[in-house]
Amino acid sequence: MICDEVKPKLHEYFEDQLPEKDRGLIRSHLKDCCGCRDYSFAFSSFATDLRRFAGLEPPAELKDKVLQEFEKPQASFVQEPVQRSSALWAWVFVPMILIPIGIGVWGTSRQSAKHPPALGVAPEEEVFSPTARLEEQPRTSSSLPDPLHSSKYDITIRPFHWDLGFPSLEKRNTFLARLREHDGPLVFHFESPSFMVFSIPRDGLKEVLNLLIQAGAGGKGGRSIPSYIPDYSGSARVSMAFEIPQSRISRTLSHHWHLKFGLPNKFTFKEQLRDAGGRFLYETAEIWVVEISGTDFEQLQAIIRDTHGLTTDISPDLFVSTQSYEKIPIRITLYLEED
Amino acid sequence: MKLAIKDELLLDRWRRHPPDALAEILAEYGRPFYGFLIAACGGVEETARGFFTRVFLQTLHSPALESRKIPFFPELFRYAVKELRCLAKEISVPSEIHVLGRLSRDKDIKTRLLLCLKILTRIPVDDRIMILLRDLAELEISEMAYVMDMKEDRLKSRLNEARIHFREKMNEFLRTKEFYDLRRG
Repeated sequence: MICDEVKPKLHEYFEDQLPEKDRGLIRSHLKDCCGCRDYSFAFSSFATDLRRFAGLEPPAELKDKVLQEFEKPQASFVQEPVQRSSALWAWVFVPMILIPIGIGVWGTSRQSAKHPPALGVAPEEEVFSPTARLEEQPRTSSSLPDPLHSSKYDITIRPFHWDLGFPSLEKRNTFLARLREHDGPLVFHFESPSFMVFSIPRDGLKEVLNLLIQAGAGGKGGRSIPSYIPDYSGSARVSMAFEIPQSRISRTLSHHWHLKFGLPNKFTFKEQLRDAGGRFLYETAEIWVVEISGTDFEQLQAIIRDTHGLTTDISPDLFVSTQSYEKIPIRITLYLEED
Repeated sequence: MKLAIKDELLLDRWRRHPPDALAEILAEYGRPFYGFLIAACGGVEETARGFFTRVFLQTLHSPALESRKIPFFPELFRYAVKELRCLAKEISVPSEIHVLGRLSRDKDIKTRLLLCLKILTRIPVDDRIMILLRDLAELEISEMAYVMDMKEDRLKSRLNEARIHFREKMNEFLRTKEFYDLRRG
């Protein structure tokens, strides 16, 4: 394959849209051709690079501003965004239509076209008031959907233990067994790839969080599990759902999740790791946990590079840490359920 | 588009305790949405900030959300897209983007990100939005179809065209001195 044949195909190559034969040819060409390797720099991880933006935390003051605006009794945000193009159309066509009707009418309409309604002023019926909404919607437990008994949910219960960050199915089962032993009735609703929903007595929240941490959910030490528990004074029970953000779950490769890490053959990786004195502990949908001494970190990187199939660089998508396996964010959401 | 259980629960929470639910919504969706706006605005944080508050609050009052037919996340982008289309011709990438330093310390990665932003601002606004919705916000095709107000088949073909457009612009840019300077630092 020559350079002119390779360059137009680079985008498809990095998006895995080429047949294996072509991929092999391009891979071998990139190994040998310094110019194409340099050229491929821009394509190599375009989608992955863009995904980095999704991790950008909005400044705290921006969130505060949203909350402040929200508290205002008269909100200026309720209108649909105004399209500039439509304003232009109004400028052009409104006078044209109104000319034949009469000069007086035309004058009036032109005047109104000059002064379109102010953007920030909301119509009276659209004024937002959170308090009014609360009054309209009395807090009753009946408005909380019961996922277990609702026919509109099509839920297949499967042991997606890994998606919730449990190191193993056994740990997940132990966690649920301990929950059932807990004082007070436990209602286990369901679990899905990203959810586990159950109800527990309000005073048992801390124990449940401790159980989660002990079961290894959320990675080592359960660091991503929040310690903050909202105060639901007066409530007898809460529903609890904890989840992994959907964006972190592989969409297309859920059954071959080792591929998510970009390794064409994970067994080669394991073999090389074993040869280098490392130990493969376990894998989840999000992480691989391997044991290797700190001094051999460069060797581990070399193994990854060798088995990755790309000669240029390790994919930035691949996160390698010698610290711990704490990279599974789990959010716990508590829902009030009144007596 | 099916309403996920997560959204059902969030909407219920929204009815019961709006301020609490809003904080939750910000924590849940604030990050990818802010990143999307930054990328769509060519890395100009001030512009993205202006959009953020306005679009967020518009979405909270969306009639579709009130009637509980549409998940929050796509609805947020629907409003953002409307706003971004108005801004289409005013976007330009500044020579130095401070936000890139927060994304990575690696010089190569920062260069690639800058490159992405430069190319994205050179393609039509709809192409840019579609690429960002798919690759950055990771929306499903059905969600994107709702956001862009297109049929799914049409959207797929438009997305493909957008990628081709992006590639062509990238090819053009890679032959310029600007890229050479960018690459060599």
